[in-house]
Amino acid sequence: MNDLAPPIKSLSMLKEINSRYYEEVRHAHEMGKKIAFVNVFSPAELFYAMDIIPVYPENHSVFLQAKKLTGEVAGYSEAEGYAPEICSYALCDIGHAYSGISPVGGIPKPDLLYTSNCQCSSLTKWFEVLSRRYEVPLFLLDVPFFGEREFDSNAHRYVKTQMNELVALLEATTGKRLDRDRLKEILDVSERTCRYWKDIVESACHTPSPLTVFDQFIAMAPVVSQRGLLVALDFYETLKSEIDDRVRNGIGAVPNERYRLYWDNLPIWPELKWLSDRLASLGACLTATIYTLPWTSLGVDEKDPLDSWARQYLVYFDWHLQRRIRLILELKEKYKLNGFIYHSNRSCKMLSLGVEEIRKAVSKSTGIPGLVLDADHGDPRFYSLGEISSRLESYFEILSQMETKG
Amino acid sequence: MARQVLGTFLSDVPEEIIHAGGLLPFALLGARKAQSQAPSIPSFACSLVAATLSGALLNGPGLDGVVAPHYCDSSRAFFHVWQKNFPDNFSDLLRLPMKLDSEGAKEYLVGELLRFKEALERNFGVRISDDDLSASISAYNENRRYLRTIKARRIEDPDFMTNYDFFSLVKSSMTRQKEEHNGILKNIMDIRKGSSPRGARARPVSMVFVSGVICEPSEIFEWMDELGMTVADDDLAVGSRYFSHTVDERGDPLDALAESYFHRIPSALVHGPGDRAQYVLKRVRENGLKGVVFIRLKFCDPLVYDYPDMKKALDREGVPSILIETDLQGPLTGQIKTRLQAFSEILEGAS
Repeated sequence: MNDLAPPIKSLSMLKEINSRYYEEVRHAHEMGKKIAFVNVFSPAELFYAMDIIPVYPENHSVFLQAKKLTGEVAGYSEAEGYAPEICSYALCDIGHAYSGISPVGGIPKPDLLYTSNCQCSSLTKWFEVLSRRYEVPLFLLDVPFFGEREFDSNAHRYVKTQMNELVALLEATTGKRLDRDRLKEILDVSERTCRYWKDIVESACHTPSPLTVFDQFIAMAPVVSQRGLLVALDFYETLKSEIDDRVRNGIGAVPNERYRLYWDNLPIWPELKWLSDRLASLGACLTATIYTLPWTSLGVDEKDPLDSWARQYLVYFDWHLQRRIRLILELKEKYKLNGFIYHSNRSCKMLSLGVEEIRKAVSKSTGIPGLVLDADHGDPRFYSLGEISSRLESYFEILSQMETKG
Repeated sequence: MARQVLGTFLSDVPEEIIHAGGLLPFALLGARKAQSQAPSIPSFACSLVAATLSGALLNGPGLDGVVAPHYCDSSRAFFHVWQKNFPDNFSDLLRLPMKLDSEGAKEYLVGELLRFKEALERNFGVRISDDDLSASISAYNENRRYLRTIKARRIEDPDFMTNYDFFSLVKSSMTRQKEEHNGILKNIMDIRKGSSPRGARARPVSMVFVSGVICEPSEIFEWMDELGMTVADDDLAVGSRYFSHTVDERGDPLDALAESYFHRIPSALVHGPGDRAQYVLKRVRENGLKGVVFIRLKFCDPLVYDYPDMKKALDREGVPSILIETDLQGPLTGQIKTRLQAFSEILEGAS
C-alpha cells in the first residue's frame, strides 16, 4: 500500500481533550456550574461566561454513531415511538435520553436547553422532546432568514430582543449577572481560535493538500464545543503549526493526490475511516466542504456582542440555495477543485432537499460532473457501502476519461 | 381580466393581505391523484412538498406566484427549489415567528406583514389600503364564523354534514374567492336551518378528534363517514387551525392580523408555550370525544417528534388513539380503511 500519508500527530491530542471535557461536564454541578444542552450554532462564549457548560447532543450523537452504536441506541427511541425517518442525531440522542447509553461515560441531566432554528428546524422539535423528557425549560432562538433579500433590520431587532431574553434567562438560571469583562476575554480567545481554524481549513488550498476534509471533521469538535476556552486555542495553535510544517515540506494528506474534491453536507460518521481509505486509494483528496466553514469566522464584536450574534445567525448561517451554489463555485477556484461529491443525507433535509439543484447548477457552471451519494450521517440502515463504492468507481472513471480528453 | 392566483402553503399565510390586493390565494394541498415524483426531489422529502413541487416541476407552475411560510426545512427547500426553477414567478418566503413567547415576536410580525404587503404591491402593481385590508378581514371573519358554526352544529348533530363534505368545504374555502365562498356557506346554512333528516343509522356514531397537519387523501374522511366516525374536532392546518380564530376588525389591520397569529390552536410547526397533548386532551374531554386519530403525512418530521409524547398522554388518560400514515403520491391502500375499521370497533366497544 502506498496510499498512507504520515498522520497528523496533533489530532491525537483530541482524545484527552474530549475526555477532560466530558469529565468536567460530569462534575459540573459539584463545581457550582450549570449544564445547558445546546445546538452547534450557539453562543458558546456566552454560556461559558455565565459558568454554564454547553453540552452538544449533536456531538454526543456523533460519538455514538462513530462507535457504531446507532442501532443499539436508536432501538430505545424507536421503542418509545419515534420513527427512524427523523434525523439520526435526534434518534440517537432521544435513545440516549431514555437509555443513558454513552460512549463518553454519561452526561448528567441538563439545567436548561437552548436551540436555534438558524441551523435547521428539526432541532426545535428534537429539543422539545428533550424538554419534556428532562422537564427543563427550552429557549428557542427564532431566526427568520431573509435569504437573498436586502438586510432586514426588523428581523435583526427581533433576534436581538431574543438574545437579551436569553441573557435574562441565563441570569435567572444561575442567579448571577453577566460579567461583560469576562465575556470579552472569552470572546477574544474565541476569535483567535476561529482564526486558527480558518488558517487550518484554508491550508487545504495548497497542492498537495496537507489535510483532508476527514481530518477537519475529526478536528472540529473543540472549535464547536469549547470555543472561548484556552484548551481549544492551544489545540488549534499546535495543529496549525504542524499543518504549516506539512505545507513547507510538501507533505500531502493523500499521496499521489490526483483529485481534489468538494464534499457537500455532513460526513457519514460511521464510515469516516472506510471512506477516507477508499478515496485515498483512488488518489482522491476531499479538500473542501461547507460543513466546517461556519467556525472559520465567528468574530463577535466585543462592543455589542448580542447585536453581533444576532447578525451572525441571520446572515452567516443562512445557507440559501443560491448562496450555497455561489459558495461552492468560489471554493472551486480557491481550492482548485476538480470534482464534487454531494452527500444526499437522508437525515438532514435542510441540506439535502435542494442537492440536485445544486449539482446541476455547479456542473453547468464548471463543466465538471458531480456525484450524488445517497446515505445518512449516522444510520447505516439507510445506505449500502457496496453501492457507495461502485458509484465512486464509476464517478472516478468519468473524471479520469475527462482528464484524458482534456 | 381574470384574477391573478398566488399559491399558498398551509394555513398561516395571511390570505387577507393577498385578497386585499385583488389576488386569489390558492392553497397548495398536493395533487389529488398519485403522480410520479420529479427526479430532482429526494425520496425522503415531505410528502406534501414532494407532491406539490413534483406537479409544478413536471407540468409548470400554473400559478402567478407562491407564498410559503418558513415552517420547517421542507417548506424552506420547497421555496428555494421553486425560486430556482421559476425565477420569473413571484415567490415569497414568509418568515412568521416560529416562537410565540418572545416580547419581540408581535412587533416583528407586524413588520414582516408590512414587508409582505409591500412586496405584493410592488410585484403586482396594486395598492393595498387599510380599507381594502379591513374589508378582506371582514370577509374572512365571516367565512371563519360560518365554518365554526357548521363545526359546532356537527358536534350537536353528526348528521348535519358528513366529514367528507365538511372538510371539502374547508379546502374549497382555501382555494376560492372568499365572498363567493361565503355565499355558498350562507346557502348551506339557509337550506339546513332546521334539524337534519335522520336516516336509519346502521351503527352508532363515535365522535373523534383528528390530529395532524393535513388529512389527505380525502377518502380517509369518506371511510370515517362509512364507519360512523364523526370528526368533531381537529388541530389540522387544513381544518380548525384555518378557521378557529377571529381577527379584530377595529384598529390597525396589520396589527390585528399579527395579533391573531398568537391566538390560534397549537400547531406542530410553531413552537409555542402551549402543549399540543394537553390541548387535544382538553378538547376530547370538553366534547366527550371517544378517541383520537393521528394523521401523519409521510416524512413530516414535526409530527414524528410530537407523536410519542402525545400518545403517552392520551394512554395515561385512557383515550384510545390510532396513527395513520399517509402518502400523497403513493397508491391508496385499503390497509388504512381496515385499520380505521378496527379502531372504530374499539371505540364502539368502549362506549
